[in-house]
Amino acid sequence: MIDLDVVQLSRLQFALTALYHFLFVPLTLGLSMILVIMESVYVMTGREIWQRMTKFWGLLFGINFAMGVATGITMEFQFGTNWAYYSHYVGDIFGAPLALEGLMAFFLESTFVGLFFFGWDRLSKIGHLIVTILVAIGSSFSALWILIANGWMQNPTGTLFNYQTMRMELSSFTDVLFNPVAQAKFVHTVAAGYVVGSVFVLAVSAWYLLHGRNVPVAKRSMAVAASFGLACSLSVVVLGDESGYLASENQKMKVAAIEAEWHTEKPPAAFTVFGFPDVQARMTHAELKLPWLLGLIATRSIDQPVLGIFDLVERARARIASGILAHTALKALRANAADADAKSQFEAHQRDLGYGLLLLRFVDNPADATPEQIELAAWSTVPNVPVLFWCFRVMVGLGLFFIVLFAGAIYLSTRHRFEQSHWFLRIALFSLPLPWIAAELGWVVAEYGRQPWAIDSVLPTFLGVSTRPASNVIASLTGFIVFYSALAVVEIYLMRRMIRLGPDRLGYWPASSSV
Amino acid sequence: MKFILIQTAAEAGAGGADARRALRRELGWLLLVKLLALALLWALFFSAPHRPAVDASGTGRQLAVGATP
Repeated sequence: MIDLDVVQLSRLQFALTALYHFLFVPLTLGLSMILVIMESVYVMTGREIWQRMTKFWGLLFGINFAMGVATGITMEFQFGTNWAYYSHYVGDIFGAPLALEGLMAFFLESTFVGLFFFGWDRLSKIGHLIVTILVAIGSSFSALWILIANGWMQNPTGTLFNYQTMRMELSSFTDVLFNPVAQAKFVHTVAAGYVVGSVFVLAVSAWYLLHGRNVPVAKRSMAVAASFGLACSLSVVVLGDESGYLASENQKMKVAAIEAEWHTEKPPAAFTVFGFPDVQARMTHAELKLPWLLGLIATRSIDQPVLGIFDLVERARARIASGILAHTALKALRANAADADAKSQFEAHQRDLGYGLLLLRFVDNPADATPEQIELAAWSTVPNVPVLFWCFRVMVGLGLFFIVLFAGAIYLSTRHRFEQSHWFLRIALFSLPLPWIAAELGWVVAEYGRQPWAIDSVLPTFLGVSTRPASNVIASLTGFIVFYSALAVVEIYLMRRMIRLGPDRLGYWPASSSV
Repeated sequence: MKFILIQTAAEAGAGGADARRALRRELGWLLLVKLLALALLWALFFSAPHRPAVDASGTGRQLAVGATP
């Protein structure tokens, strides 16, 4: 049997390092694009203030980039150290986008980040702008490859299982590349990163205005952040809706868990705005529902049902029965590759092999599983309903708040009333952590909602983990917590220091003009 | 590290051949230290004894379908 302590510790380590890494990524994505906007205005107008703004926000971008870029590498190492069976099983597919991400991040992004900082006096205006654009493109492209890899985990396409090598093999790279789930996740994630960058610029600029410092820089920065942020926060909603629609086709259980929809409703299904999902009782208390909304969002129709958890568990039960046949046939094929009957049975049921593997959590041989064990395995396909339910609602609520925030900023910007509106500046300042919370919750919904699968319907998470002693994982997890906490302290210290110094005291903007 | 290199490069511009030699020496030392640090990390955490050996047979055992085809 698998050591579930190692599984939980490995999951915790990956989750913590991924969530920590994603504190830096969205700000890198967002600020890089804001730098492009600011520098474009500088090149088009020739007004020096825009160059100084680009340099100042570029400095904060640089601190974030330097502190954050390496934290992603440790996640890739973990595939080898903690997830060796996962890497063997799906490495042929998963490795290619990760390698391309490495090339994009280190050869494109990092090279041009260097030119961005040291090229101001060595490149022409246009040349430097092109460098800044390439930094932004490099950031987004490295995100693209990661999200192609992640999209494949959510919707494994373009691959075949080889029972002789015991691994998934690539059958169509274009299917992996143009996986609709990956494409939707990419645009949704990048747009969310742009929102993070915009709120960051808005909040820091609000702090300067509240203190009466760097006023020309802060007002222009707020105007850029407000307009770019509004466009992006509206995009996040639309693109998130597309992600949800695709999930309702490929990951019906995730959608049912997010909505705490225990039973299939008569279409069009209602959207539960509020409630208390009860996992023990398998029902939701104190539901507040909006009629039709879930049906429209999830199926884009009024006559298609959104399957509830009970019906999906019933489906899982049937697939587990089929998966047991696939597992038995695979076992026979491993003993005798020429066994034609086993091959034929395996081909008929291999689509459900992953469901058969779910039983290995409860029994050594799936063919010996009792009805109770099959029932347990079927219900193990349900992710943590309350966590998904609440994370999704908080994320969506914050997304809607950002739209209002940016719209308010645009209104005040067009009326030239930023400086008088201290109440708004305070709201903008205290909104600083919110986009990170929304972005992290988005990942929790996406990845926790994928459980119990590492690769949806193909490989259960607990089977992907390396056979290592739990003490090994505890040691590396402790190391990560200590080291990353130290990095976080340094990042916050440097950011606070540079922001407090500001463009005036850093020499980017004359102090005399700042009041 | 970048700061040190910038300073040295500036000196090289002003000081000529000696400063350029100093820059080369400094870069050489930095590369050596970096390589040693990477080698140490590899030896401590990623060398063969630290890597779980996983192949088709191992995966077969993990998935309870037998070690060999």
